[in-house]
Parts: sequence; structure tokens; C-alpha cells
Amino acid sequence: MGDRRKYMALVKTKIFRVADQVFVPAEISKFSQKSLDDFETFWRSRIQPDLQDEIYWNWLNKNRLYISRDNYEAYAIENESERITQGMMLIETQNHRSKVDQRKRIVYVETLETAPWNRQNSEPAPQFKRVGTALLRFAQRRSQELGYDGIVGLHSLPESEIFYRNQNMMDCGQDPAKENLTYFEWYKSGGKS
Amino acid sequence: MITDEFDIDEAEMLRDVQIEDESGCNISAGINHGANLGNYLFEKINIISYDELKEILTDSKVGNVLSSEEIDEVTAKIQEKILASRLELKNYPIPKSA
Repeated sequence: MGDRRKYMALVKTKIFRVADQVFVPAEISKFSQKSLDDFETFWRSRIQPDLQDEIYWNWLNKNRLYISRDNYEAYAIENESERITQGMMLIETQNHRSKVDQRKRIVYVETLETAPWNRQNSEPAPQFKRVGTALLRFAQRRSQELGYDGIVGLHSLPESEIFYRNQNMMDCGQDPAKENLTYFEWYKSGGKS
Repeated sequence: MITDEFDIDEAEMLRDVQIEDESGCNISAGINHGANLGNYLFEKINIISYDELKEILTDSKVGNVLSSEEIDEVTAKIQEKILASRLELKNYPIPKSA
């Protein structure tokens, strides 16, 4: 049967509250109806409609027809005090291989987003930092748990590339199969390459 | 449900914040889903899995009649139909192969 032991963990971590400059407890758990409700209630109205629907649906159309084999895991991170979703991530755990060593499987970060109020250009200033980083580190941890040596790969939009370079992820160049987004990989466990 | 902790070394977390500050950009990965993100994630993880569907068929009386390859074929067809009906419900463009 399919792997019913998919990661159910509620993982505690900390994110940085900008207002008083302290780390506060946060939890990473599986994406749920509550996460979706948070998106609809708190996120959607603050997201600029800067992506044309036609472009989105064309992209989705190309990527839609797959046969799921329990290979996707989605997570949300909430701050413990208010329990509002501060970030979301979707990872793929079975079908991607390292660009550095094709023999090695990786955790591939399909999507990672922080809440609109935690983004660099948000007005007022971002409420929490380390939301995206905490999710990324969690992806790395999943890679270690799955026996993939902590290898994590992802495609970055141009505006986020500098962050991944600063994380010492390997820049593997633009990928024509992914809208020419740049592919990055944390090849060495821990990202401290 | 398991509960554990990670990344709670303060120096490392401060370094994480410093890197975010130095980068001065949004932390995101993959295509920008915009206002569609929530539904995209929900759909992606709630689609009935191939393995689950195959298990149901194998354990049912159908499993005594069809071979494993035939069950594979039926499973794939059922899932395609489910996908196609979901796309119609949401007025998404329907792929030609669905």
C-alpha cells in the first residue's frame, strides 16, 4: 500500500518577531484545511494580482497531469501565539535527482512562500523573519530523514536568487524546463559547503 | 502526532535572520502562484493517490478477477477521470490528454 507513514510531525522551531526583536515559538505541521482557511482569510486579500491568470493556468496545465504516488508533502508554519499561517511549502520526495550526482535522490522544493506581511516589501515592515528559512531547513531535515543526505533542490524566481546564493546553495544555472528559473541545490548536508 | 524541536540554537537562528536581511529579498521558491497558492497546495495533496486507489481495487473483488497490470490500467484511467472532472468543476483549462 502507499506509504501511510507520511510525515505527520508537528515540529517546533522559532521565528523572529520584528516588532520586539525576539525569537518566538513556531510550529511546522502538515498543510491542512486550517492552512487553506488562513490563506483565504489573511493572505489572499494582501496578494497583489501581479500574475496574469492566463500565464498561471498555462503553467498549471503543463504540470497538471500526473499520477500521484504519495510523493508530495505540504507544510505550513504558524506562530504559536496567534496560530496564523506565516508560510507554506510543498516538497516532492521521490522523483527528483541531484543535478550534481544523478544517483542521489533529493527533496525538491516545489513551492515555498511566506505570508504577504512577512515579505521584504510589505507595508508596514515585515512582521516575522526566518519564516522561509525555517521551512527550507525543514526541507533539508526531511531530506536527511529520507536518507537523501540533506540534499535539497529548488527553482528560484530571479528576485530571490541572492538569498539562495547567500545560503551557499549551488547555482546550477537557468532551467529551460522550468520557465528559465534558476536551479539551486544544497548538495552538502547542512548547506555549509 | 510526533512533536520535536530543531534549529533552536540561537546563534544559528540569528545567522539565518542576518542572511535574510543581507539578501534583502522575498524568500520564495518555485513559480509565483499568487492568489492561487492555497488552492494549488490543497489540490496537490488531496488528490487521491495512485497507490491508495490501486489498493482499494486490489482488495476488492475486482482484485480476484483482474491481473496486476489490468488493475494498474484501470487505476490510471479512474484517476484521469477524477482529475478531468475536478478541472471541469473549477473551470480550469482541460488538458487535451485528459
